Parts: sequence; structure tokens; C-alpha cells
Amino acid sequence: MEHPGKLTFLFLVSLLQTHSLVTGTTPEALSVSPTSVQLTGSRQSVQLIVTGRGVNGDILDLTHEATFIAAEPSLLKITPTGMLTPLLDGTTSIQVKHGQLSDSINVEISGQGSQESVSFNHQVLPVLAKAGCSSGQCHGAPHGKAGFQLSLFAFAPKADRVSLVRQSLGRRVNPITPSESLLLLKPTMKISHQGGKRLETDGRLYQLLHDWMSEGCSVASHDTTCLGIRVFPPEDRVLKFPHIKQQFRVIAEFSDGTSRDVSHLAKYETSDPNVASVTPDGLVTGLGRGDTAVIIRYLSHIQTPLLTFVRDIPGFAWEPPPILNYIDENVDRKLRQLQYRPSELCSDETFVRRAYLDVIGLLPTPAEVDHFLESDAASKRSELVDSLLQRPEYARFWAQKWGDLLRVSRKLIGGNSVMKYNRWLQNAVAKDMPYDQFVKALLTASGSTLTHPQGNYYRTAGDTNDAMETTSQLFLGSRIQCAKCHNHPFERWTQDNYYGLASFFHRLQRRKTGREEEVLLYSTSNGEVTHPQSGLVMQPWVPTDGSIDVTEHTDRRAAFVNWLVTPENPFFAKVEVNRIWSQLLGRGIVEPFDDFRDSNPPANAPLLEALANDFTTHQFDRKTIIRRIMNSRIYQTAAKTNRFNEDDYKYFSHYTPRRLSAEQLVDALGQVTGQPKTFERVAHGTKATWLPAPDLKPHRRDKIGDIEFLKVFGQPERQSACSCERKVDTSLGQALELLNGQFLHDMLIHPENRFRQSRNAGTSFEDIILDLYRRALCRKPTDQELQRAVNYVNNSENQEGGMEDVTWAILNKEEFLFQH
Amino acid sequence: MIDFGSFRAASCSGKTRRSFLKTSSIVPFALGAGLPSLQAVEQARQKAKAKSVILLWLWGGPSHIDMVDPKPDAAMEYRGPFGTIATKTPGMHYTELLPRMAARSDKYCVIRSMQTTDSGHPGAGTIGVTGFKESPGPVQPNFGAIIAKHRGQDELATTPSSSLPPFFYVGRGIPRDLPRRIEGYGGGTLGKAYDPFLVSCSDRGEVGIPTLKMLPNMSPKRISNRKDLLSELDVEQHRLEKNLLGQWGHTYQSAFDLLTDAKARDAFDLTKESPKTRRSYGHTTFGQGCLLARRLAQAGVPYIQVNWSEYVETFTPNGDFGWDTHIYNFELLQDRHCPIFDRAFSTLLDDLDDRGMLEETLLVAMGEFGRTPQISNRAAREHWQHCYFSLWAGAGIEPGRCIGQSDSKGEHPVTRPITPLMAGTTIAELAGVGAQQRAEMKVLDGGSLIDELL
Repeated sequence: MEHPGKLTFLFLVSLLQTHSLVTGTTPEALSVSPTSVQLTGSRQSVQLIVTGRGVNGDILDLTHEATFIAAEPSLLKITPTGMLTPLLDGTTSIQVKHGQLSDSINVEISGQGSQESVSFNHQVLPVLAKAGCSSGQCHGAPHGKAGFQLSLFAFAPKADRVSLVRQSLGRRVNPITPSESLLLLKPTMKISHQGGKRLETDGRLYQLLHDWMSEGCSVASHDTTCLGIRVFPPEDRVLKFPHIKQQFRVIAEFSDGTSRDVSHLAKYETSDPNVASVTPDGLVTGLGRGDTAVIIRYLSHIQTPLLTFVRDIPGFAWEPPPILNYIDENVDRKLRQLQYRPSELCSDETFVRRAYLDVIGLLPTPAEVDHFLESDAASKRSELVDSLLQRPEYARFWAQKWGDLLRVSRKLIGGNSVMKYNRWLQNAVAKDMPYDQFVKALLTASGSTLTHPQGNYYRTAGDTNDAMETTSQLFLGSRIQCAKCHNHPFERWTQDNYYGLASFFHRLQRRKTGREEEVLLYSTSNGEVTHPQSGLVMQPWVPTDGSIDVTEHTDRRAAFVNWLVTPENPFFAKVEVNRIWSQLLGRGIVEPFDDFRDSNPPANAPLLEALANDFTTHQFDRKTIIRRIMNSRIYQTAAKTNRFNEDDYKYFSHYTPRRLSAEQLVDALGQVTGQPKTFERVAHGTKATWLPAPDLKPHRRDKIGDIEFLKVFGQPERQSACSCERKVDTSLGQALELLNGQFLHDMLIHPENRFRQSRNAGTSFEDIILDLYRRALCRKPTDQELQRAVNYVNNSENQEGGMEDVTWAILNKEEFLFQH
Repeated sequence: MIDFGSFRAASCSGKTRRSFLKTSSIVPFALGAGLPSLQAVEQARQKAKAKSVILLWLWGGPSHIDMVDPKPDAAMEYRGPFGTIATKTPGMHYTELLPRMAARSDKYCVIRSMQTTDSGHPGAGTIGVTGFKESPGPVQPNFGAIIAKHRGQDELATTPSSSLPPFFYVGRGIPRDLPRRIEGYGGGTLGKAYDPFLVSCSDRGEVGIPTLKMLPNMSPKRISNRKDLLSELDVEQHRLEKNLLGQWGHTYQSAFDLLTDAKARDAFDLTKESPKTRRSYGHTTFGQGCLLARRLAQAGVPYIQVNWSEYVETFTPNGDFGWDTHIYNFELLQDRHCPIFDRAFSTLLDDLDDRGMLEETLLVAMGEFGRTPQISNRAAREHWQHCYFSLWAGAGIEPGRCIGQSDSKGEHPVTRPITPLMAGTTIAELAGVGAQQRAEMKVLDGGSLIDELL
């Protein structure tokens, strides 16, 4: 948490900064959208948007600063925020003024003689969604709330009408005195409502519900359907402080060819609340630097325009840093735009530790450290990366990362299959199997899982839905699970899409052969997925091409894979480069790294694009991407921040330290103390970072509940394909293990551990400590550190005990526990 | 405030609690948006009705018919020797063994229609605290692990208790019978990182914490020396910026304090309570354990399971008088179990209420099953999974109700059976783990709420 004093100080500073910049850009031209307005019904309205353009092309939203003057003021009402509602039939014009600039639009109004009836589907349900009633935490929850159930964001209008009009003995509505209905008494808190106040009695939303009831709670028998929404401004915008407001307009288009302004019915959110907030009326206000998507929803339709907020930071000047490859160019462009100054390059000592941990999962030996530090070749960093990528440990360590994602565990597939599957993964990584072929091999695996261990993919994902969900999460970066039961709440996925995708996997048969752990995989030529509500047979469907035809006798999985691995597929390459990026830098360009959706925009879209292109043009060679990233300046920046980037956490202006993973930590402790941990049921000398599964050792009932170091530090159980299972946050249990745990204690007191062996061989404490620093931290101690450590040992009553303490202290240093 | 390595996950209803918090913490850039976001934080805080959950785990299978569901009109071989007494709830009777609880029945609810699907202790125990059978597995997480994980993802919720783990077991150890411990004791599929933190408590209120026990040759003094050395070796030039390391520095300091500083263990120190309070809970391990649970809840711990005993057995070697009364059922209930439970439960309820904690604390008491309504040829009762009871108080549950009903012999529910999975789902819901979060965590799959209770 921030120190309160510091907060106040920063607040003052930011106020001062705002003041000094308050003048901002002066607009040179002004335009109003829409350019003309036709209103044909009494319930229609239009949100006007006034846009100014500065000399240098800057765009600023003036909707809330402009004045609106109607030539015939009696015909209509217009708010200072640009919301226009009709009163009487007629034609008029509106003059829009801002300073010296002005523009005008024509308005035609008709149909005011009679009251337009309220549409249940297009007005009442959106009101309930906008007020939050049909959200997942309220009545949209699977069983509703307090006995009242609505479908999540109105995806089942018929059921919603029944709940509103028929259930609870019809008490929820009251056509005679609508204001006495539960539907209006509850959300206005006239009677107690656990969901709090959701509606104002004098608001338009209230009025719509009220009028719908007074009109008899009708549902038009042949209601048109909404085909989609358009938003204005349609393009992504960059807004510069102090011009940090942007009003949005939303137009819905209907199946009868009409369209109408639904700005007052749409629901607005921002993807990054640190960057901007948005009012229920669609006015976005910037709060900080950065990008945010504005998520605009009307019924099941979503648009997600992107806004970037920039501001001038006093004293900031862009000093071009060295460019090592295209990654740096892309990141720098963003940093320069947002005015973050990148950190310096990290030292060789830091780099060697970072590179070893990332590529092979282990710390370098002292000889390896010296070799690297002593070299003065200009290209020594990229040479180190190249040589590390050739090591067998690379394949073992990166196969383990795949094991996490593919849920390789004894519980799910059995001990022998774990070994076979892991060996297959290690081989694939070691032989640089191109990523598209790798995925193809997994997804189209057929035959015995004993001879084709990759077929275990369909044993961990043991049924149609699981196979589809796992596949879309791993290779499309999409968490489609939500769409199983209802349309996805913040993506374009619908329930139809879910079952359309599932049909690719439905004909796969898994037959147990009777041999232990063996399953025979084969495809049949019949079997269809039906929609759980409509009962219709779902055609195979893919996100970019829609429904696709698959001939009777092809394996549908092959058809899916052919679509999946085409270079044009917008998801496939991006998901993998983003995953590699996050494995190397601790945070994805899209974060979480397997959650791609329009409402979760990448921190740097051009960078992601460029990496994906690089990947596809290099035949999906993963090492190319690893090399590219590690050879970039961005990967090699120091963790040390400067005053211009200390608050950046997502644009990669500095390295972000992260705790060693459970396996890395166990290996590192073993390497430093010379007491490597051994594991059951694997070859002697197997490192933690090579373990094929977390649950290989036999389950002993008398050991249930014992503390295990690896688990405490977050080794995943591999029960879900979600990356979130690997626990990276810190817990009290971890700190206690390091401070007073048996695991580390045993290494320190072992009679044959490294420092005792060196001592027995006659090495001085000073040399032992020098060696310790090199092993644990890949650097020499400073004179001060060395002096203090040596003194501590010498002043201890029991010098071996003193040496234990020194080793302990180094292993408890953040510099050791974190990769930095 | 800066956010590292964490992410914003949206929920069906839009913002998560976490994202609300972020909004409030960016005052330096806030241009007039400070106030609404503070309200948002407050709303988020209020979302979980139960800030803490205390589960009194009556290990061994307490006899429903001899306690809260007497059948005075059943035949002699069913009803047992105890008379009945009226409770504060009209029409509801208990046996005479629970006078204090009867006098407070307007403060909590009784469910008399619990049902489970396993008749052995470890099996039914796992179902009882996870909602699922232990085999074929994988073993599902304990309800406490689910809430621990959920709170761990939520910075705000951990603030008051950040120096304490989120999930405690109070009692002698992990529940077990003679052959083995129960599989569902801890993190299950969520991982052992969410295992409970064990604390034992003696009948005199002496607290033992195995994890804080010093290893051979270690002492608080030596740990302090080590820590001093650690800070001496922390030279400026190689220091990592604290704010880039997330919560680590804070967590590490908390652990150090717990190990070396008696003050940091205040929440465990029952001597801070008046002798009167300590006496009112009863000087029994369970009674003092309940008092410890109240102190932990007060310190903000989200989930505390108080285990009646470690073993189910009463008399077997190592046994610590669990509720598994295959022999001397009536004698034990009358002379030992019920007086202890009656006193501890009632005092805990009063104490929580008096301190105004009951609104934000969910108190649940249950075992893994009930006991045979028909008295055995050993003049006792055996295992009975078809019908048993649970008790619910606090967290906004409307008290004073008897939910569900068993048949005239107490053999089967005649109303909808309530399962442990439903109990766990309801606990999670009240502790703020909503349907969507449960789905995302892949826990309590298929569990429905006990609507009758809410």
C-alpha cells in the first residue's frame, strides 16, 4: 500500500501538472455527428457527438463543452450533454457552437402525435441489463436472487417475460398502477431491496418500465430482431490530457431495415479502470496514461472501441535508446507515446542469471558465470542464448511447461502414460517440431495411446465439451466455457458457437482396450451435437469462416486443424507468441495470456502482430521467437526503474522481477547447497524442473496433509488447462518454509553439504562465501558484503553454525528468490 | 499503487472486486473520480455476507435422534432414554441434553434433513467438507480452501488478516480414523498451497502451532540473528525495488513476526481473554478451540474449521473422544459430549452476537453423518448416512427456524434431502464466492444453494 503522505503529495503534483496544461489544444475545426437527424417516434432520441480537430491533427471531443441552439426550440429538448429528444412534429435546425467555431444540423421530427409502444425485447430487457438486474451477481445468477430469476443479460427473452409477468402470482408487474409494482418499488428502494437502488423515479429507464406495464406488459408478436450495433466514434482514438473526455453514441440495426439510437439503453464499461472510467450515459473520462477498450453492450451485441490516453509529463524528453530488433521499435513507439522512459540495459551478471533460468530453468555454475563474464565478445549475449537453446535441459524444462497446460498427471492418465507423454513432449521440443505440426499431432492423434502418446490429449480432455474447451483455451486463447450455458457475457461467443465448435470433436471415440492405461482413439462418421435448448443439430463452426462443410468421411478434427494452423488464422500464432512472451517476461502482451478477447486488448497490438508474423514466416519455429525476444533490448532491460517509468506495469519499460517457480527454487537451493533433492519414480539425478508430473510418487495415506515444499511454492496439480493453476503469488506458508522449514534446514545442516566439504578440503571461509555468491547470485559480493559475512562467521561461537546462517541469509535474499 | 503480475478478470456482472480496488488506488491521476470509486470499494466489501466462516466439525457422527431431532413417539428401541424439552422455536423440541442450545434456538437454524452417501468415516468425512466422494478422484478442495483461494485473489479482503493464513484447522490434527487421515482435508485440486494451517489448543487453552515450532538447534534468537545478518547483507547497490516484488516483503515480515514476536501471535493468545470468558466456553479442548476460532475470526481469518477431535473413535488407542459412539452412546452423550457441545456452541453464539460479529460471521456445526435410529444390540447406535443434522447461524441467515423434517423414526428425510455439497455451496455463496467464481475455479460443480435457509 502507498504511504498516505506520498499519496497526497502525488495528488498535489498531479493537480499542478494538470493546471499547467489546462490550456491544451485549441480546436481549429468542428463537426457534428450525425449530420442530420430523423426522429419518427415519440420514444426516440439521439445522442449528438461534437468533434473538434486541432492544427496538428489532434482530435478532441467537445460534446460536453459545446452549446446547442435549436432554431425552433418548441419542437425538441436538448440537454447540455447533447442528448436530443423530440416534442412536436416539424423540421428545424440546430446550431452547435464552441468558441468561434460552429456547425449546424437539420432535424426532422414526425410521429409525435401518438405514443409509441414500448418494446419488451428492445427496451425493457436492455433497461434491466443496464440497471444490473440481469447481471450474474443479481437476478441473472443461475438460480436468480431472492426467488426472482432473469436470464443473464437477457439472452432468453421468453423466459424473462414469464418471470416478470407470470411468476410470484403476477405481483412483479402492475398494469393498473405501475408505480406500485415490485418491478419499480424494489429498484427504487421504496421497499427494501438487497440489490440497492438501481433506478431513479424521474429517469428515462424508470419511465420505460412504467409505460411498458401501463400498456399491458405486451410483447409484440412479430418483433423484429436486432442484427447488430454501430458506435460513434467508430475508430480507435488517442486523447491527450487535458482533453480526456469522450462521449459515445450507439445505433442498433434491426431486421426490418430500421435503425435507432440506443445510447441511453446500452451498457458501458472500460477494460482498464486505472486508465479510464465511464458513466452510464456513455461518457468516458481518462484517469491515467494508457490504453483501454470501452466495452459497449446492447442485448447480445458488443463493440469494443479502443481509447488511448496520453499526457505530457513535465521534464520528459525521449532519448532514443538502442534498438536491437523490431521488438524494441514496437515497444519504444508505445513508450514514447505514453511518455515512459525505458530503463537501462541490465548488467552481464543479471543477464546470465536471467537467461539460464529462462531457457534451462537452472542457475549457471560458477564456471559458466565466469566464462560469460570474462568474455568480451560483443555478441556474447546472443551467443549464450543460442548455446542454451541447444542444451538438453532446455527441452526438459519447456516440456514441463507444456505438461502444465496439457494436464499431464498420474491421476488423469496413469504413471506409464505420464512417462510416455512427457518423453513425446520433450522430443518435440528438442527436435524443434514446428508449432503447427505439434498442435496437429496432438489434435488429430489416433490409434493406441501407448504407441501414440500424444493421444493422451484426449484422455486428459475426456469428453467432447472438455476437448473443445481445452482446445479453444490453449490454441485460440479463448475461455469459451461460459457459452456452454448462456451467451458469453463479454465476448461475441454465443451458445450456438460453443456447440458448433464442439461438433468437431464429437465423433472421436475413446475405447478402452483392456490393457492398462491404453485407449484406442478413432473417428466415426456419424454422431452430431445438438443444441441443449433448441434441440437443433449444430453444424461444425469456426470463428472466422462461420459454418463449414465437412464431407462425410473426413475426420472432422482434421478439418478443424486445417483451419486452425493456417497463417491467416488471427488467433493461432498470436496465442503462442504471447505465451512465449509471458513465459520469458512474466506478463503477456495480452494478460492473462490465454484470455484473448476484444474486451481485453493487448498492451501493444503492433508488437503482437509483428511477433505473430515473424512466427508464421519462420514456419512456426518457437526457438526463433525465443531468440528474438531474448535478443531484444526489452528483454535485457534492468528491473531498476527511473522516475519516468516507476508506475508502468504493463508496457515493458522495465523488467518486472518474479519469484522463482517452485521447481526452479528447489533446483536452485539444491545447486547452491550441493544437496539436490531427489524424487521418487524418476531416474536418479532428475531435477525438479524436469519432473514429468506433480503426482508421480505414490500416494501414501499416512502422509496425507504433510507439508511439501514444492506444493507450498505453487507446483500445480494439473487439474485444469488454465495457466492460473500455477500459483505465483506469495503466501505466509512460503515465507515460513524459508525462515524455519525442514526442507531448507536439512540442506543447511547436512554433514556433507557444499560448504562443509569445502571446509574439510581446507578452503577459507572467504573463498566459500565468494563461491556462494557466484552460485546463488551470479556475482561477486561487494567488499562490504564479504566483510560482513566473514566477520559474522568468525564472530560466531560455532563457526559451522555461523556458515549455516550466512548461507541461509543469502538464500533468503530477495535477489536470490526472485528472477530479476 | 501498482499492480504486478496480477490481472483483471471480468465477471458476468462486470467489474470484479479487484478492479474496483484498483480504481480507488490511483488517486494521483484521479480527476474528480475519487468518490464514486470509494463507494464502489465499500459495495465490494459488503458483497460477502460472511467475512469469516467458522465450521464446528463434529467428527465421528453425532446422534441426531439423541440431540436435536428426538422422536419421543417412536418405539423404545428407537427413541432412546432421553426426555425432550421445548426450544424457543415454537413446536421444536430437543432432547434434554442440550438445554442451553434449546434456550437460544431463536438465534440459529437447524436442518434436520441432511443426507450423505457414504457410511465410512474417511469417505463421508471427505464428502462432508468437500461435497464430493474421494474416489475415483481427483479429491476436491475443502470448502475452506475454496474460500482461502478466493480471498487470496482479493487484496482488500486479506488486508486485515494479511499476517495470518486464510484457512485454519483448530484441533489436534487432520481428522482421521485409526487407519488414515481424510483425503478431503485441504487444497485438493486447488493444490496443497491451500492446505489448512494447523493450530492445536489444549483444555487449558495452551495453543500449539506445529509450523511455528522451532527446528532442532533453532531458536527465535538465532532466527533473529539470521534476519539481522540478512539486512546487513542487503546492500543498496543490489537491492530490488520493494514495490516490484508485490506482497513478498510484507508476507516475509509477517512470517518472521509470527515466529519471533509474541505480540504477532496475539490472535492465538487465549490469556488475553478474561478468565470468565474462558470459563464460559468450558475448559475443554473443544471449548477453548471455539474461543480460539472466535479470536481468529476477529483477526479477519476467512475460514476456521474447529475439529471436535482428531480421531473418530472414543476409546481406542490415541482416541480423543470423537462422536463415534458405537458403545456407551447414551452414557457418553449424557456425561461428556453433549454438555461440552451445548456449552461451547451456545457460548460461541452469544459471544459472536454480543460483539456484533454474528452478522458478518457464518457459524456452521455438522458432522459427517448421523447415527442409527434403531438402537444396536450393544445398546448404542451405529453409522447412519441417510439422515442427520446441521446448525447454521449468522451471516444474515434468518434465525429461529427448523428446516427440513425427518420421518417418524428419524430414518429418512421426508422433505428434500440436503447434501454436504449443498451445504458447501451455501457456505461459499455466503462467503462471497458466487456462482460464476465457483465455475471459474471449477469447484462445487453442480452444487445448488439451500434455498430454504436463504
